[in-house]
Amino acid sequence: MSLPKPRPLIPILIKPVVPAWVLIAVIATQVVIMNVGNRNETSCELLFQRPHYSTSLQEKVKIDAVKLNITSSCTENQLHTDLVATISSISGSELKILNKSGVIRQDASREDPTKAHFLEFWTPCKRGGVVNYIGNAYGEVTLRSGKVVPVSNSMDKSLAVLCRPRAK
Amino acid sequence: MSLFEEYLSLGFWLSEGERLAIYKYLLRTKRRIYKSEALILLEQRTLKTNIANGEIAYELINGEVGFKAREIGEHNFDRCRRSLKISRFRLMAVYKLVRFFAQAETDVLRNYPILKEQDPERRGYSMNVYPYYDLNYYSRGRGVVIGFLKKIQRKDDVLLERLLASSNFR
Repeated sequence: MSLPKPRPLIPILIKPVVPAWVLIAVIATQVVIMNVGNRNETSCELLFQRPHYSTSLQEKVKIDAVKLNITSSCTENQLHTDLVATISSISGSELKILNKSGVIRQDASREDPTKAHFLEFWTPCKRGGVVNYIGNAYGEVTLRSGKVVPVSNSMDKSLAVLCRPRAK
Repeated sequence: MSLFEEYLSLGFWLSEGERLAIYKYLLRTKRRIYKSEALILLEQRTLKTNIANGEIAYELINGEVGFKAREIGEHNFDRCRRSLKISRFRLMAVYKLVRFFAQAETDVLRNYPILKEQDPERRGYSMNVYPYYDLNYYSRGRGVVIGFLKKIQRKDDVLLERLLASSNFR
């Protein structure tokens, strides 16, 4: 009497056909390719400076104003950035738009063509007053390569600014 | 010194309303000059003018006028800043060119003012994407119908009256 042949505990179908080291190598290659791909993807962002009392506007045009400088910064050289910027005040829960710009085009900086500096956004203020300001902006960056990248951002939180020149 | 001459030094620091007032002021007070310059441009296809601390080079190619600008003393003109299709009919072409010239001069005054002292902030060229003669300027690019409605609601900046009074222009 012959005994039946014992069945293997792990069926042949689920046994690894590809050696483990090949699988690890394939995954590692894919990770490297994805990282290189991401590095080629251009990204741009809008950076806000703190709103501040503008000494230059007081000196040149004799007005009290709060200025908000914005920089668009990209990972590759740009031609120019087009932006619409808004400066608002916050009082309690009330948001009031003080100044909304037109669509302004700013050339890339000569010193660093990955950036374009917007230095013309400001709103008049009342001497001696303290107001909470918040800014936001949206637009698009045209890169040297011709690619257009949309950008938008707003300040993380409002900042109180005293409408008075700093004592020298 | 007239009020307008004072404003030739304030380019960077002008508000948007003031810039629009200067455009309207130039359009009213320099219309005759612009018309004769338009005829020269149509005849010779190129024209150079200057305002404040900037020079403007106009060029007419295939029915389209464009301008480049540079600061006085710079060697090269930069790239074409604006362009506009103009009509083959002389009257219509002159009408459009007059507006184009006023816009170009306002742009150059903004970027190349006569500085009494060096500006501590280094600036690149900046401009309004939509020119003042385009209704899209008033609607921020949302179309000419909205632009027209916004334009008729908008009041002139007080600067326009002051400039006109200062130059005794009627």
